[in-house]
Amino acid sequence: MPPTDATLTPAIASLLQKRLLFFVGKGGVGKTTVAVSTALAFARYGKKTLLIEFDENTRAARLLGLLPQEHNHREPRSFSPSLSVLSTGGAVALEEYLRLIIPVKPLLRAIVESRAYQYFVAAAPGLKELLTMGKVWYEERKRDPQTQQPLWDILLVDLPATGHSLQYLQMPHAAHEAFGGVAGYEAERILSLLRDGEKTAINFVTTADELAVSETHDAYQQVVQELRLPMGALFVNRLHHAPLSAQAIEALQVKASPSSTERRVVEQILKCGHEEATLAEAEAVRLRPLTALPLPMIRLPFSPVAEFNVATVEELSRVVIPLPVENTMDAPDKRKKTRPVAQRHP
Amino acid sequence: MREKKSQTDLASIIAAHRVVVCVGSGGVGKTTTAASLAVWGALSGRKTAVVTIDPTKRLADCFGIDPTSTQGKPVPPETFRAYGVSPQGTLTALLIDQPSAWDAAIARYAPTEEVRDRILANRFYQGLSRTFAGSHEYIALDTLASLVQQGTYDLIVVDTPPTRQALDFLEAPQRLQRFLDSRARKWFLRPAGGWNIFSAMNKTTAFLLRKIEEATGISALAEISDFFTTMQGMFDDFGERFQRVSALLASEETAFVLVSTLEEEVLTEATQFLTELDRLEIVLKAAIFNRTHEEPSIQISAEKVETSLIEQLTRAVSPSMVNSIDPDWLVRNFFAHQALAEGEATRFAEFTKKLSPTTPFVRVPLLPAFPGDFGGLVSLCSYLFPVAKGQEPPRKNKGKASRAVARTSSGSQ
Repeated sequence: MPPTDATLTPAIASLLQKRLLFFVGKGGVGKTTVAVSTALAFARYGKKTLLIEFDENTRAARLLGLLPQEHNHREPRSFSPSLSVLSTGGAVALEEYLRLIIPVKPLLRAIVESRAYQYFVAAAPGLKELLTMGKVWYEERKRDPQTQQPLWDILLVDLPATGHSLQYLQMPHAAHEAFGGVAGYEAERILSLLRDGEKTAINFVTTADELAVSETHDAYQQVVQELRLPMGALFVNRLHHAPLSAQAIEALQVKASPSSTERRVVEQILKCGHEEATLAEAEAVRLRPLTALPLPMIRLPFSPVAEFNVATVEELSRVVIPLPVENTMDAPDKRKKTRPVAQRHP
Repeated sequence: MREKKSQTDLASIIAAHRVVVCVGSGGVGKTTTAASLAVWGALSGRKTAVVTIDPTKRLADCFGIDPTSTQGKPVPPETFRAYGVSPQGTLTALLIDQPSAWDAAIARYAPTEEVRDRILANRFYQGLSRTFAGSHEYIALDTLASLVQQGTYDLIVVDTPPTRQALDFLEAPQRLQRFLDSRARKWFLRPAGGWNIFSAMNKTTAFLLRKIEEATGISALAEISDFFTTMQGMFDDFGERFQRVSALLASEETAFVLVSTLEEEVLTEATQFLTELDRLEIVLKAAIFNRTHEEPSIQISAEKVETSLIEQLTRAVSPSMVNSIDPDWLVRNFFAHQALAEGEATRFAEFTKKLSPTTPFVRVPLLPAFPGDFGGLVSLCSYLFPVAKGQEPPRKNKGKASRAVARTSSGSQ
């Protein structure tokens, strides 16, 4: 049951109109967390969602508690009726591709296991990226055999760390220019999907870390200006928040008698508060270069939990799209120390 | 805690090695840590170079890195003095800019200008050097090889590229060698007149490869073939060089230092690092954990006491301030911090069990207002190389930074 649109921010409402969302970001900023949280939120909102992750990265599947699976046979796996996860990669995509051309199994095995093939794959870099993007294209085109409706309402792609993700995004363009044959044709089709602003949006994920901010800035220039791909939103992850300023906390005078337990407790509490406020203030300063970009900002809080798990991403998904009004009573306070019980798709 | 272990500490590890390679996942502060280790090297009298890949602009500026050149110049002593320290040695930062470093390497090895230009114009080469995964590692190692060969520096700190396949960096030489190995090459070499990619193979393979070729487009293969043909003769140099780097990395002169945080995902990757290092028979010499949260000195376990804590807090500050402090938030924040620190403590204990008992490790606390400049690197040294008991770490900055310093020293006493 989709909640009323009043719960949507304009940025999220606009993303929900698309078919294909990419997530680009520096390694370590929590890109997978953001992609998974957004996928959970969209699925709960009622969209039939496919989350795709690349290469050996199976973090999204792990975060959602899906078991590791066979290397060879990778099909979308369902986490819930409205959310499926696909872990795919260059090697897998290439083999799938070859299976279409060479349906004879022993022959296929012979080629894949030959040293010549290994060399070919190694020597033709970019092929992996192109074919992986081809797989994304293929999933976007999938139709339900009966209704002829698209199988997925929306696809979210968790790309590898920035440098490498830009390779994925630019490969169709490069291949279109460099390759002939089927690959060139393939590249052209992928490219037209990528450039379609009605369907596709490239989203950036960052934290308020200085390096992440500058890398995001560069990635933005490259994606929007050089590759001319349509942009989505900027997700800022792990933001600290404090209703008090560090200065105000520092100015507090503690009355309790020195060396009393009470004083030590109070000082400890104030120290933690001071640290949080200092972090929040430092982050605001470091984020400034990004506020100038014409991207809507979606802020996600730092999750101060002992253990990061599916409950944590569920909680973050409620920041992306808050629960419908009738359920907000049990929506946990995002600052609360107790971890909420995971609620799957109410 | 083992930070104060007697036999080895981080300082003696750095002192005993010529090459220090920082490995770890992206986003853990590897570049900053490597830079700080190099600052320490210069402070302790060594001719130090730090090979860095992706510094922040601020860091590059304070190192005097010229982005248009791969030749570094030493950080002037005034920069050190501005932060109250004076270097006994020198510090030079070298930036690896992938494409231009590759072009420079080609220019170095190409026998003639014609060959050089031909390679530089080859699209396969351009792709390899500019876009494709793995080339970062090759060129980082090439730079390292040059530095070692030059013999100008007696300490070289290497910041490895951020990569999920953690030790790609290490295996790059072997992979490149395999890639360039003569048997592979002959498939791609074009003899006078025509390109014979299929002639060296049996018929089945040839048939199958032709199928792949149909799928990918022949022009790619032609470019590759041309690249290998033009590069002929230059491989031996490359191969030899990388063999030397491989030997250097495996030698006693090199120390691998893990940089990590105590976050779950990061430690999972760090554990994979350990396994891979083991497999490559490399001993991890030290571990550095950044951005750690200390457990509060007072444990308040029951969450029931929240109300009484709020009351306590309200009582404890002067009445005029009560209205402005938001005690609810302060108490909630305290519990959040405590939960975080507890999780970290558990993971820390578990992870350090996996390290060899002689491997020193250092915990660097989260520095809320860490200045990403040269002063920040100098202050980071005091956490990485804590001074003996009784001495206070240097207090460089008034206010927030010194507050954090005070916290560490009080925490460890």
